[in-house]
Amino acid sequence: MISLTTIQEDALIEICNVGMSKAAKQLSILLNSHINIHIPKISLLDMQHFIQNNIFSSIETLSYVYQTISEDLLGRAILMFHRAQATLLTQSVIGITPKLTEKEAKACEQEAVLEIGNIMITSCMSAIVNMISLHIKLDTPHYNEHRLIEVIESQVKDVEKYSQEIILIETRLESAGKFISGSLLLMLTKSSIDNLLSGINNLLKV
Amino acid sequence: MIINDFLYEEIFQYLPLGLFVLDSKCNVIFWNEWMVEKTKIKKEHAIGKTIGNLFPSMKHERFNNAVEQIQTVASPQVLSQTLNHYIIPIPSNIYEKIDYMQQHVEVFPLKSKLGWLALVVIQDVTDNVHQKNTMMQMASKLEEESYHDALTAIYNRRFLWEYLEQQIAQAKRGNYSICCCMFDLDYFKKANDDFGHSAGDQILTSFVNLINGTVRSSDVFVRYGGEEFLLIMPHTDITDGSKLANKIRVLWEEKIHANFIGYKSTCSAGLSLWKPKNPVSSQELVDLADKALYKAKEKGRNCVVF
Repeated sequence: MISLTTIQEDALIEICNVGMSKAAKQLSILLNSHINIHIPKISLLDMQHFIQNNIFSSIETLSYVYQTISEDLLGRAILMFHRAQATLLTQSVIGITPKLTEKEAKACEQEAVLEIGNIMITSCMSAIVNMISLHIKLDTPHYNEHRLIEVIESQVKDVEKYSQEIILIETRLESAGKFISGSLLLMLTKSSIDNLLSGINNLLKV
Repeated sequence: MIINDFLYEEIFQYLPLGLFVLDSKCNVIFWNEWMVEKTKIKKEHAIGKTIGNLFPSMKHERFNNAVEQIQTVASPQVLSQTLNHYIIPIPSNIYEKIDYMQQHVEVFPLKSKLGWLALVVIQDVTDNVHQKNTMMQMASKLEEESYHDALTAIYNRRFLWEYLEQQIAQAKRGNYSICCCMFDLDYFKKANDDFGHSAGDQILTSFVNLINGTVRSSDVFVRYGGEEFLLIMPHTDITDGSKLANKIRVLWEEKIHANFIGYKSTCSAGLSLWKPKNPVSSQELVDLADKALYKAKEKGRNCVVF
C-alpha cells in the first residue's frame, strides 16, 4: 500500500487550505458568522484502517454530503460530520427554532448542510484540480444520514472499481468559538489516485 | 413523435420555473418566459447582460461563487432558501413580512464548444416559507395563551403564578405548608453547544419524564425558564421536600444518556417553604428558592440547599 510522503501531504494540505479558505469566505456570508476552516492532516490510507481509526464512533449517526466525480478522476467525494455538530453549523442562521416542528427544523438543517457540504467539496476539489491541471466534473450534491459503516457500504456499492485506499482530508471548522470536525473522503479508482499523485509530483518538480 | 429543438425551446420557455443560461463570461444567453413575467425584464433586454447589470442591488457573492464553480469543476450548485432566502431580488407583495420572492436555486453545468455554460433554475418557494412562518407564529401565540410549555407539555410560568396564588390562599385556610423546589440542570448550555439544540430539547424532555415518574399526583411541576423547573409540593415540610429533591437529583445523576456521548447529567436544587406562621407572597417564595439554588451552584452544583 502506498502512502503520502511528507512533501506530498504538505503540498495537498496547502492546496486544500486554499480551497477551504474560499469556502470559509462563502460560509461566513451565508451563516452570518466568521468561519475559519483549516486542514490539519491529509492521509492516503487503507479503507479498513480508516473504518477502525477515525473520529466517529461506530454507533453515532453522521450527516454527510456526497458528489460523484468524473472525467480525469473517477470516484466520489464524501464530506461527513457528527450529526449533532452539523446542527451547530446552521444554528446561527436557523437559530433556536422551538416553534418549528422537529420535521420542519430537520428539513431546514438538511437543506443548509447540503449547501454547506456542496460549497466545501467543490471548493476543495476545484483547488486540487486547478493546481494539478486536471479536468473533472462533479454531479449534483446529495445529503444523507447514516452510521459510518453504512455510509461506506452505500458509497462502495456505487463507485465501480474503487481502490481500497482512500484519501482522507481532515477538516476543522471554527464558528463562533465552536470547533466542528469533519472528514472529507475521496474514494477514487486506483488509476485516479495514481493520476492525482502524479499531478502532485509534477507540481513539486516545478 | 420526435421532440425536436422547437419543442425543447417551447418546454424551456413555459416551464413554471425561472430558467436562464449564462455563458463563460457570465452574460445571459437564454431567458425564459417565467423570468420575463416575474422580473419584468424582457428577453431582448436581458440577453448579453450580466446578472449584476440586470440587478445592481443583488447580493452577488454566493451566486458568483456558484457560477465560478460551474466553470472550474462543472459542479452543480445548490443555493438553498434556508441560507440565502433569495438570489434574484424579485419583489413580492403577496404576503406581509415577505418582501422578496423566496427561492430555491440550483445551477447546473451545460457543455458547449466554448466551455461550460451555467443553467440557473429558480423555484419559487414563497408559499412554503409563508406557511412555515405562519405556523411558527401560531405556535408562539398558542404557547403564550396556554398554560403549558410547548416542548415538555408541563405547566408554564403563566400557570405558575395563578396556581401559586390559589394554593397559598388554600394553605392559609387549611393551615398547611407548601414546599417550593427550584431545579436547574447543570452545564445545560454546554450540552446545547456540544450536542445542538435538538439534543438539548431531548435532555429537557428526559428530565421532565424522570420528575413526572417520581413526584406525587398532588405536586405540580412547572417549566420556569430555559433549564429551570419548579416543583410545588403542598402539604410538605422542608425535610420531606429536600428528601424528594435529593431523590430526583440522584436519579438524574445516575441516568445514562446513550445518544450524547460524554454528557454527564447533574442538577442543582434550592428549596423554600411557605408556612402559615411565616407567610410570604408567591413571588417571595419563588425568590427564596432561587436564592437557595444559587447557593447550591456556589457549593459546586449537584446538590440540594435549603
